[in-house]
Amino acid sequence: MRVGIAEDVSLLREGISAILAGAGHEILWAVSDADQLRARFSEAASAAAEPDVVVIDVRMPPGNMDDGLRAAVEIRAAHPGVGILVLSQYLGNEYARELLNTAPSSRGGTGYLLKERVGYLDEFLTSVDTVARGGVVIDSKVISHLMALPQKNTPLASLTVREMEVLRLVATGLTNAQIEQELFLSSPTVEKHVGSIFTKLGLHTDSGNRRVLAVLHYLGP
Amino acid sequence: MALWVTVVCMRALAGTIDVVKSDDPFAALRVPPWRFLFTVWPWSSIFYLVCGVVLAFPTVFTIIVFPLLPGWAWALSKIERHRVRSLRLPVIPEPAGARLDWSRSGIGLWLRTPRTWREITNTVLLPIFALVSSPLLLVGLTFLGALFASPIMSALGNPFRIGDWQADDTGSLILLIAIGILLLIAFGYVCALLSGAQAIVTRVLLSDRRSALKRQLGLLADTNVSLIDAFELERQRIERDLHDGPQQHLAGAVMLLGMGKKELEDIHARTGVELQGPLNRVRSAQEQISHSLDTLRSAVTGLRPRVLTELGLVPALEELGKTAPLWVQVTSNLKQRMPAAVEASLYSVATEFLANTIKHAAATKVLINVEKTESGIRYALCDDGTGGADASAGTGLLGIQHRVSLLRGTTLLTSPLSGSTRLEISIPAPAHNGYDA
Repeated sequence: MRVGIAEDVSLLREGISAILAGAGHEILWAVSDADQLRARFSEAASAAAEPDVVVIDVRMPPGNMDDGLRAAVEIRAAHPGVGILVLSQYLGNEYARELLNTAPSSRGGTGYLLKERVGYLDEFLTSVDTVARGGVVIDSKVISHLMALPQKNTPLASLTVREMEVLRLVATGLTNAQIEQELFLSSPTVEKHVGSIFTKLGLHTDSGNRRVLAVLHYLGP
Repeated sequence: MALWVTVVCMRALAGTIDVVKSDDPFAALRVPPWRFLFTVWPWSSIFYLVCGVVLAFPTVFTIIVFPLLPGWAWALSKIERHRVRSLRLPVIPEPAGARLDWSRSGIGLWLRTPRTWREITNTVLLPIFALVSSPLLLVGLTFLGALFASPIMSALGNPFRIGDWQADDTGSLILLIAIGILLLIAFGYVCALLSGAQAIVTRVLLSDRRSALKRQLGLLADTNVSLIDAFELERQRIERDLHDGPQQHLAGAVMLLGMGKKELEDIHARTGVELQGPLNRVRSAQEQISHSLDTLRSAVTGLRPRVLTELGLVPALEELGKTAPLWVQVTSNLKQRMPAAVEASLYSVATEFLANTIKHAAATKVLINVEKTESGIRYALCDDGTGGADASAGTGLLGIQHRVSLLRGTTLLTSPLSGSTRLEISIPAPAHNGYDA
């Protein structure tokens, strides 16, 4: 697949390029700040010239704040087909939520990984694939950070322990088949759990991408 | 020579220009002697004393014709409040609401206020100061005048003489002028000292103490707010340094180790060489670094929530609510970010409130409302607990009050026994707040 990279630290930028290229992906461009990132998208003449996935660092020049995320939100709105994988040093879920909130039903996948995850090559490459396929991946550390928080009066409270477990795996980007393997469950059981999660969260077939919406619920109000 | 003259002229000019309004009546005494004559200080001090002597005449007259004294004291005080301006001191503010009305009760009231007697004291002190300064001025100015006039007088055939010695040649004339300059400097300092002392007495007697205290308090609050701002900036700087330095490098190291591991695996697959040992080592190194990144992250979050820095108060409060073991609802009409110090203070007020609620109130729910109003920011926190919070007990609530008062805000705590606790805070808009947003 075709990948774009936006990362200001050159070591990481080149490393990510090398890892993705080594896995047989085509690196369209690798830029070092949010303005260049926007420019690449405004330059692209057609959807064919756009990458399938962009890997974006949250904190980048020019502002060295959450410039990368701001650019990602804009790209999500203007190019809903592009998968966006955001890298961050930050454990909170605000960034992931903001990105998912922008266009919950867009075709492009969404990922939120801690930066060091890049060094676990297999996991990282799987995440890139998932995002390229339109899935959602949230870093498992971010998820366990969330799990450590007390559950309160949200629709989530009505989920059973098993259903929470399944939803957690959905959030980390696993497909139903992978969840079956992970939890040693049969295919109908997993489907039943997923269906029950959707029902309890009030997500109907016409709500759009229900997996994304379920994860959005999972990430908070 | 020409250069020297230019330099002296430039310095003289600079000396007269760089006189700034200060609050220090003895500012003149801090000027070094070689610059003293090029500043306005000697001249303004002499002028101040001369005015004092002139004003002493009618004052002595009214002291003798006693019934005129209160009226003159009133008028003189008005002059005195402005006279200190000649010493580059700010005008002494007049106490508010002190208009003299000429009815019988008005005069009676006027005579009973301490202000009147302070003004009369100041008026009586004026001739005493004049008594000291008039001989000084008389002798000093005459003697200095004679010294500086000596070349002219010598040319007119009436040279300066002390006993048998008389200054008729150029050498002794230059000597006289030099002595004159040194004496003028000394005379200037004495005048500055005397006028400074008089200005202090005038200021103590005529100023409105309350407004002076208020001004000082305002200054103090400004200092404190800039102190919080400085702390805030420092925290942000540390957080940024950790992010841009160690965190990036460690993430890079994890990545490089991951790439190395992949290369080792490839070698193993190609050649069949046993590499399990090195692979395990690389994997544990990765784990170690990941672990230190986790530690670093939690330290950074403790410093200052990233969300607060980047997304602002409301998202930060929402996140805070999520980490709390009770249901927190945040409502707000804020559309813009607030100054960093305000955001940080309001955020820490919320953490304090939540901590108190969790510890004491057995509450299940907290409502937080941030509202921007015409006059500033209204911040209300409310729980459904058992109440009974006492603002004077424990440091937590005192800490809240302190933080809010540093922003010149007000705190209102209502916490009836077995009722909900409600904390309301109003912070004036930045324009009334002493610092820029």
